[in-house]
This record gives sequence, C-alpha cells and structure tokens, in this order.
Amino acid sequence: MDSPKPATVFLIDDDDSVRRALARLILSAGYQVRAFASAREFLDTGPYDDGPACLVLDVRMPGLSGLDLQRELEAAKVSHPIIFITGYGDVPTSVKAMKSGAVDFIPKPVQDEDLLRSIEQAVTRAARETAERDEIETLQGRADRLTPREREVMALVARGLLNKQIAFELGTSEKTVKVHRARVMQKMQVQSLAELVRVTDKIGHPSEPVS
Amino acid sequence: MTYDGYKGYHEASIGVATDGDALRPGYARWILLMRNRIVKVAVCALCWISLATATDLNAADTGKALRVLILSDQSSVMPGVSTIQRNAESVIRAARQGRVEFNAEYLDIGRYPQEKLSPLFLNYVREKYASHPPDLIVALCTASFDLLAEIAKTDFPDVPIVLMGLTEQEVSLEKFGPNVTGFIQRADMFGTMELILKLQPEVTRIVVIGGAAPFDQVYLNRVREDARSLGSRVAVEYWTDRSMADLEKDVASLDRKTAVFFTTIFRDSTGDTYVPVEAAQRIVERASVPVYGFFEGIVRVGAVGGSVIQFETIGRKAGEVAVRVVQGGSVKSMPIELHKDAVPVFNWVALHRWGMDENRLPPGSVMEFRTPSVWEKYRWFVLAGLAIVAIQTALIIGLIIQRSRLRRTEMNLRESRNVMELASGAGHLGLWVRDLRTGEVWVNHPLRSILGFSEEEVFRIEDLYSRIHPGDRDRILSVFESGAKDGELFEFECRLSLPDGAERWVLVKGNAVRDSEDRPIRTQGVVVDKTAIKQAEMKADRQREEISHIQRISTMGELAASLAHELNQPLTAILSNAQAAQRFLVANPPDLKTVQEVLRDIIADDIRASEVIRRLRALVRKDVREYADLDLADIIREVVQLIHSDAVLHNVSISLLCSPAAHRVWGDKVQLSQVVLNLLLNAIDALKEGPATDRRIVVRIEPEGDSMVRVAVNDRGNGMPEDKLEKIFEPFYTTKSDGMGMGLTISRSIIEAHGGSLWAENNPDRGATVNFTVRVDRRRNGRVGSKPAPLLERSHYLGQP
Repeated sequence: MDSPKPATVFLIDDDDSVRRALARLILSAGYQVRAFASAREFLDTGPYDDGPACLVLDVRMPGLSGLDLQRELEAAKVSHPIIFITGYGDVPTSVKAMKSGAVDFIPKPVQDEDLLRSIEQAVTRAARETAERDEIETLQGRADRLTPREREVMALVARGLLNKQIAFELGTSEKTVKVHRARVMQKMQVQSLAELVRVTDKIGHPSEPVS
Repeated sequence: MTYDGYKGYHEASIGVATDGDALRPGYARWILLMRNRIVKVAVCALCWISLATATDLNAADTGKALRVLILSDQSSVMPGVSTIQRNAESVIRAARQGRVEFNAEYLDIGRYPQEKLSPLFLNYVREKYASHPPDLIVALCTASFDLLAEIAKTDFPDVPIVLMGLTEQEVSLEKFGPNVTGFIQRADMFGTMELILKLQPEVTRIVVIGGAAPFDQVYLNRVREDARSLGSRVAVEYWTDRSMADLEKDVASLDRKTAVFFTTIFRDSTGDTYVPVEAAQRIVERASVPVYGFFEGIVRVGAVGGSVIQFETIGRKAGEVAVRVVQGGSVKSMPIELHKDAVPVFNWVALHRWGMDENRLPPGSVMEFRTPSVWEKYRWFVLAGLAIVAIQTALIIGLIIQRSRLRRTEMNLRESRNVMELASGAGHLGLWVRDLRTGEVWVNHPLRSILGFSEEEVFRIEDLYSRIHPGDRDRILSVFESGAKDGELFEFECRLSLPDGAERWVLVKGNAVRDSEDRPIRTQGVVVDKTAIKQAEMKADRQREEISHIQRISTMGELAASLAHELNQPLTAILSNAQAAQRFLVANPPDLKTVQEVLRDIIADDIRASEVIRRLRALVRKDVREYADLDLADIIREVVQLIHSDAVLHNVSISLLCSPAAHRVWGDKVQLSQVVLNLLLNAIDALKEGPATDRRIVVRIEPEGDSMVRVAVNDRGNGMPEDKLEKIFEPFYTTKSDGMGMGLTISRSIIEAHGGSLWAENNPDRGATVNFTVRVDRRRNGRVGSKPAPLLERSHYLGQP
C-alpha cells in the first residue's frame, strides 16, 4: 500500500484478551486499529469516512452478534469489507456470512498470515471500491448536467446508433443530433466514442431520463 | 445301782428270822416311793434324849472331830454291808461341817458261830472305846440287833444310837434304851412270789431254795408265812435240806411249769458255808427254769429278778437319820423307820433268756443289765438321724419339685429358645447376651456365623470386639461400653472384618438389664447382617454414580461447542499475542515494552485456558462422592463460567443473587455442580426461542429455615403446563430433540441424597422457577439412642421420581 494514510481496521470482539491480542497483531502489520467491545459500541461511535477500512468481527457476541451488525451495516449502505472470526466448526454461520458478502471467514485460533492477508485484500478492495465509487460519482455528476435530450442522445450513441438513426429515432434532424452529440462529448469530458461507451457502461444505461 | 462286789466280793445277805407280825401281804405291794412311808414304831413315844447329849453333839460342831462308831454283825467283805456303810458315811460326811472320825467293828456272825465270838467281840469293843467313847453309834445289822444293843446300853448309855440294816426281827427298843432311832428294811417275799406268778402265769409250782444256817431259816420262815397268802394258786415246795451238789443237779431238770425262789444259803445241809450270792449264782447257772430272789445281789448273778431290798437305799436313809441326830434333833421325837416295801428289779438279760414279756412287769420296775435297744441307746442319735433324714427327705422332695419345676421352666425356656432360634435363624438374626459380672457372652448360631465363629468356640466380649473393623472399632467400643454402663438403648451400624478377610455390615441394637439396685448386670441385643443390603445399596450407588457420570458426559457433549469456544478464546488470544510479539521483535527497533505486555497477557490467557479445562474435568471426572463444606455461590459461579459461551450464543444473561447469610452447604461439589449445570442449561433452553429482551436467568441463594439453603433458578421463558411440573423429573422424559431425559431425574436423586428436595413451579407472571434445597450442616452420624443415619445414602433414581 502506498497510500499516504494507512487503512483502518475496525476490530469488534467482546472478549477483552482476544480483542487486545488481535489488535496488537493487526497493529504490528501497520494498520490503524480501532477496537470495540460490542457491535453496538461500534455503531454508536461511527460513521467512519477516513479512507480505506475493513471490519474484523467476532461472530458470536452478546447483544448484537457479528451477523446482526453485518445486516445493519448493509442496511445503512456502509460497505466496509467484513472479515469474520469464528469459533470452531461454525459452518452454518459462515455460509450465512459469506452469502451476505463477507470478505473472509477465519477460524479461531487465528493464524496471523491468514488474518493479515485477508485484511490486506479487504483493504485493497475497499480502496478500489472507493476509487470506482468516486469515478462513477464524477461521471454521474457530469451526466446529471446533461439535458434530457442530450441524455437520450448519449444513450443511443452508447448503443452504437448512427446519427441519422438517432435522428430518426428521436424524430429530429441529423444535424441537431450532431449538435447534441458534440455537447454530450463536451459535457462528459470524453474524447472518443469508445470512451463515451465505457463511461455510459459505468454509470449505467439510462433508457429513460433520470428525473 | 452299784456293781461292787459282784465279782470281787461275797455278797452279804443279812437278816434275822422274825415272826413277821408287822408284815402283812397287803403291805408288800410294790410301791415306788418308799421314803415317804414312815412306819411308826409304837415304842418310840417312850424315847427321850437328854439335853446334855445334845449339848455334847453341838460342842462337837465347834471344832472337835465327830466320832462315829459303826458296829456291824456282819463282815465288811459282804458287799451289802460295805454298800450300806459307804452310803451312810458319805451322807454324814456331806452334812457335817467339821471333821468326822469313823470307826468300824465287824462281827461276821453270818458265817462264824456266834456263841464263841460274841463275848470276845463285846470285850474287844468295850476295851477299845472305853477311853475314847464315840459321839454316835451306828448299828449296822443284817440279823439281830441284840448284841449291839447290849454294847450300847451297858457301855455307852449316853451315846445316841442309829440303827440301820435289814432284819426280820422285831426291834426291841428296851434293849437299847431311849437313845435310839434308825432305818430298818424288811424283805418282801410275798412281792417276789407275786412277781413270779405275774411274769409266769403258767407256773404251778414254786421251788423255794434255802440254806440250813439259822440265818437261812429266818428268811425261809418269812417265805412260808407269805406263801400262805397265795393260797392254792400255786404249790410251794421247800428245798432246804439238800447239799449244794444235789441242788445243782436237781434244778437242772425242772419243768417249765416250775419257778425257783432262791432265798439265802449261808450253809448247806452238809455244813459248807457260802456267801449267799455265790450260792445263788451256782443255782442260777444250772437251773432249767427262771430263778427269782429277794435281795439285790441275786439279780446281778443272773436271776430273773424279784421284789428286792436295796442296800444303797438303806445306807442313805440311815445316814440321813444320823445327820438329823448329829444336828441336834431330838432322838426321842424320831421313831425308827421300818420299811417293808421293796423295789421290783429285773435282770434284762435273764428276762430275754427266758422269753418273758417285758410288758408284764409292774410299773416302776427297775431293769438291770439292759442291753439297751438301738432305739434306747441311741434314741437322740436316732431321733436326730431321723430328723435329718426327714429334713433331707423334705429337702430332696423340695429339690425334686424344684428340679421338675426347673425342668419345666427349662423346657419352656428351651422351647422358647428354640422358637427364638428358629425365628432368629430364619431371619438370620444374631442374638447376644453379655453378663457384665462374669464377662461371659452368649451368642446364638446365626450370630456365630455372622461373626465367623465355629459352634464350639468359646466366646468372650473381646472376641466380638476383635471382629469389628479397625476403622469402626474405637467408635463402637465407646458406644458398647457406655451402653453397658448407662444401660441405655443403643443402636449403630458398623463393619466387621472377619479372619478370612470378608467384610460385613451389621446393624446392632441393644440395651442393658438392671438388677434391683439399678445396676446394669447384663447387656443384650440383636445383630442384623446388612451386608447384602449394603452391597445392593453400594451397587445401586455405584450404578447411580455411573449414570450420573454418563449424564454429565452427555451434558458435556451438549456443551461441546460452547466449551470449545471457551477454550478457543484464550488459545486465540495466546496465538495472536505470540505472533504479534514476533513482529514487534523483528521491527527496528524492537518494541520490547509491548512484547512485555504481550507476554503478560499470554500467561494470563494460558491460565484462563487451564481454568476452563479444570472446570471441565471437574464435571467430567468420575469420582467417589466426597462430602465437604461448600460455598454454593462459588459452585454456581463456576458453572456459569462454564456455560458462559452457550449463554452468549443464545443471548441469555445469567445473574446470581446471593444472600450473604446462607450460601455454605454440606455436600458433594461435583454432584451439586451437575445439578446447577442441568438447571441452567434447561433454563437457557427455555429461553432461546423467546424474545431477546426476556432472555434472563436469575439464580437466587436464600436460607430455607435454619438448616437448609434454597437455590431458585428463575427464567423468563414460557413456563410449562401444570401437569408437567412433576413429569419432568421422570426418567427419559424430555422436551428437547437431543435430550436424554435424565438430567432432572438425576438432579433430583442427587439433591435427595443431600437431604434436600428439588421441585419446579411456574412463576406468577412469566416463566418457571426450579428450586432445590441442600442441608447446611453435616449430617449426623449414628448416635446412641437415636435413629442412625445410614452410612451410605440410599437413593432411588430409576423407576420412581
């Protein structure tokens, strides 16, 4: 990671000694660690927006369990990758967690390599996802500035239609289409048709104008 | 009776022939008491005594010896004479205070001619006593007093004269003068003849044997005279002119209808002289029929008997008269006592020789030479013997009665003992009785076999003690001995160690029996062999332990995931800490401070892990029950820690409310932990389906009365139907899919073994509470007089709640 700011690992475990040990291990790998004794405490303290982060959660905790927290975070559209730490042979819980999008599932006792590798992956993924999310947000912002006619034109261009086909589709002249097309290109800050198609892919293909 | 002269001397028979005027047959009856009969002699009225004479005699009392002159017409060798003299002398001597001087002169006219000797004798006496006149003259006569009278009258006119003796002569007082008195006996011929006829009624002839001397004639004449009174009752024949040899021959051939009456023989027809008693002996020895006589001596030589004169009586009576004279009595006022009665005396041997009936003897008869019958001789011995025999007989009868009673009692006793033996044998009930005074111990057969003794072995209390298991001995001995001392009922259980190594369990009950002074004299009781019961109990107990253990293991299975988690936590922490430490150490510079913290944490977590394992092992291990004083709160805390993970998984909170006053109990830690574990797991189970907010378990420890502690496990679940509140304690009843249905059953048996109870109840608002109680104090051990606590608790855990 050549990120200027180290990624943050949120560690939630009700067992003091386990929590302290894991925190030390994660810390030794160069991450920031924020440890919580319960999911409730974590939720009450958040939200957390400072860079890439992941969650290391004990599945079995009094009060809100790891899975409960996962559900709540999902509902809150908090998309930190979650690494579950679980006791021996807790297969149904693991499956459930993985289906809900857990990054990894590490049995106790935890091997440092497993955990750290998993954290690294999670953090990387978190960083990537953050970057992608940021790009889409920019593109979407640009797209939001398009007029409805421009949006329609962009969508049809992205589908690969020729100007005259678009003019026919829209019931307008080819020339008008050309103007719109140029404006779209400008507004979307793309240079080529191919670039435009890629951007449209990213923000989706609005078949209908977004209003 | 005197026997002198019977062998060594000739008996003197004395007497003077008399015409017998004073004696009529009527007087000659046998009269017992002669002394009262005093015959007054007519002439005694003429007697007087001078005052001077009396004065002289009194003067003699003052110191001078009393001089008594005894004059006898017979010889002193005649037993009769000496007997009379001796008796008279002893009477006088006994009555006289001062000295008495006796002089005696004997004429012996019976055997020697009187005519020549009398003048010589007279002169001799006259010369001899002229200068020393006597104070008293005693004239001892058996024939005639004439000669003596002459001496007295002419030579000693002032001396008082006492006559004594036997005579048939009329005593002429004029010959003596007035100074005379005395005692004179006459022969009783009639009485003797009457005796003959009485003893021998068949006698038709009496042969009277007599001598030829003048003296002999005197007595024969008396016989003739008296025989006339017999009339024709019997023929009387007189053999007086025969020689001794003829007599001896003739008497030998007399027939049985004849009796012989021997009078006297001083001289026979041939002129030979005899002492009459000697002659009598020769006749008696040869006679073919019984011989009778009139003087005492004849009885002694074998005659049957007769109404005889007794010389001793004559001497004594005359002596008494002399004493009266000496003591100053007036001679004049003392007439001569003439005694005619004689005493019937018999020779017992002769009587029996002739086969005579003793019953025919007159009353008052004197029997001589009686060989007393055993009865007479040993009457008192016999009586005493008979008494002893009677007493012994009574005693023996008593003893026999007692013995038969005893036997009956013994039989009853044996019977009841048999019944007892039967009953005790059938029930294998040991009985013992210990005598505290002798130390003896009786035991019945079953007890012998219980104690491992053979039938013959002698048994003492120490032997019984030696059979008690060494571990119990001291306790049992003190109970035994205090029971013997206090006499209280005692009861205990103990183990026995038999010589063959076998061990037995017995129940002993006993008491002491006291005597009238309230001291215990013996102890007794029963011994019940409880080995089989104990073994069954122990087996059941082992099985219960077994099942209880299995149940714990199975509970552990249920808890496995949770336990694994509990163990995994510290292991996780340790591993992560260790790996972090490695990283801190390779850093540059190494973060040693953190490493130090890490190591501290590792140690703590290691300890934590081992604690989990310890708790686990404590529950899983298979131990012999061990009772101790326990902190119930500690036990509950440990169990809560053990299931902590499970509770967390199901989001159940467990809280403990402990009364500070009561949380110590007497019990077995593992088993109580098992109960708590079961109850908590059940409570968690009841809650896991419920809403998260109600997942609370509250455990309360509170005192229950003085001696118990109550634990209440309260949950907020759905409770249970009322009809299931008891059913849950039945074996194999379960509501869980994976449950064995033994948890509560075993829990209840454990609690009951602890003297408590376990029950369930629904809460008024929500959920249920399961309660159990445990004793606070040590259970009492077997104590004298109280119901003993069993040494091993018995519990039923199968089949019945």
